[in-house]
Amino acid sequence: MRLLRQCLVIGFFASVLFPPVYASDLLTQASANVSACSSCHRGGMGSGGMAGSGTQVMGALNTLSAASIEEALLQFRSGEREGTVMNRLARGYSDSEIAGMAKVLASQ
Amino acid sequence: MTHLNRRDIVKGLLLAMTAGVGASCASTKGSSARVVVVGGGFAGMSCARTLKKLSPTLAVTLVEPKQSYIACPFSNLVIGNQRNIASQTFSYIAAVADGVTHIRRTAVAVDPDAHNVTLDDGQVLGYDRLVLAPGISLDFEVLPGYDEAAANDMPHAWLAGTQTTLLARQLAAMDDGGTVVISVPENPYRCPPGPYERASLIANYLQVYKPKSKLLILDSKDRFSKQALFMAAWKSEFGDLIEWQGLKDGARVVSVDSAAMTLTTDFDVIKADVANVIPPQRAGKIARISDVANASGWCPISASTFESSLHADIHVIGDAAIANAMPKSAFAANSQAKLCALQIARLLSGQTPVDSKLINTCYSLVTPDYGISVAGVYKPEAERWLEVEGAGGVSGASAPRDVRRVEAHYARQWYKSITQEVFG
Repeated sequence: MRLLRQCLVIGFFASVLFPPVYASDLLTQASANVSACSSCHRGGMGSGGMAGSGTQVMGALNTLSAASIEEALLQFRSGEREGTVMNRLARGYSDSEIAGMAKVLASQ
Repeated sequence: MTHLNRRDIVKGLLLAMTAGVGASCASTKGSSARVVVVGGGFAGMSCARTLKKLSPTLAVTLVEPKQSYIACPFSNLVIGNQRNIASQTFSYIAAVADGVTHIRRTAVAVDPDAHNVTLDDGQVLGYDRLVLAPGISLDFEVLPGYDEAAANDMPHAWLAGTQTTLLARQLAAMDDGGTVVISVPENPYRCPPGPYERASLIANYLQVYKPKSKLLILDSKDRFSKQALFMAAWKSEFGDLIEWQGLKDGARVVSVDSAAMTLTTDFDVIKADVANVIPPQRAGKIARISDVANASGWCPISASTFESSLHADIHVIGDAAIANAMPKSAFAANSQAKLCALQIARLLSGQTPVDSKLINTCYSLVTPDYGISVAGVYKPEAERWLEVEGAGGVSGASAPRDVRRVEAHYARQWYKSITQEVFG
């Protein structure tokens, strides 16, 4: 019991004093897949509006939920939603890639 | 609930510190590794800053002699009298603020075995991973008559800066009724649709200010990027102002005479009032000095990590790399840079590289209100970046005018966004 207690204490201090050098969630496949998105979709570039026919703004995506980003990408892919380059780009990704990317984009 | 006494806490703290020291010793490569990035363009600057964001304890050094960077994308608008060169100019301050060490020197040698880079002041920088992002160098030896001196009379304007403003000044000084000639090299070269966007924006200028003038494109190939879209737009926007001739027409330029202002093709000798000669290109000098370029003049890489096929622990990104289906564009360079940084962070922390796709989008302006685009999705397969089939492509051939206007708007948004991401 004493050992367990000491281990917990060591663990607590170790995590505070020595946080992991690499934030592993930044280095996942989904993070890699979205690395090009921010060339157009930057924070501060607009208020979450994507390149729809009405808004004409390539906005930040982190103001949107993962579900809405996923839905938009699926609609761009199917052609249900009309865009310019987004239809052409979305066709390059599978369902699971889109779901993973949407999660990362919403959290960035 | 277990009660903690002071002794436990002190002991825990001490043991944690010991463990921490042990752990950091075991992962020296990860926590205090040195990455040197050579070249501060869309690839190098982006890679250096992304590395620092992903791993703040990495020692990241950016070797770039210039104090500021002049961007090529949108520089055709400067030539077309729509923009000034100051709005193309960016500083490296943001990288320094991120904790990147900016050394304003030129890398003159790389020792892949000793893992170090020598700078022009004799300084030697050791590295665990080296990223080379030198962009292009112009191949002045290939086109007879075209050397650096000739470029003062017949500007290439393919490295943005004084060459860009020189070409703009020559166009402004030309008499109405003059002939502007653009000579375009074979693939591969930086910015595949660039010469045709340039022709468009020069025509857009001539049409207003010197309407009796002509623009002739002498091309070393028979097909070019967004060809059908450009040709339709030239017809609808400028009538017969632009004439394009390709390889089959005998239009390949084989030599130039800058004193006489003539260009000799396979077929003819053409006199120009303003001549924009875009010469053949290869990877930036340091890539060739470092022995990471092959006989083609460009650098073969392992696709997913951008690690050189010729030397371990050296990565090549941007225009200098052979990324196969991916074009040599600022967009591609920037997306490659971010992926390369992520892979290096993984490798330095003992993880294997991830399999990731990349994208590219290139906008071209025909006029300030008429934009067209090409987009692609790419996947790595061993040594090659392949296009994902079924994805990508160009703007619709019969898209209405308001879509062209929207794409011109997106082009400007993209420029603002990417320059903010890389330099802001």
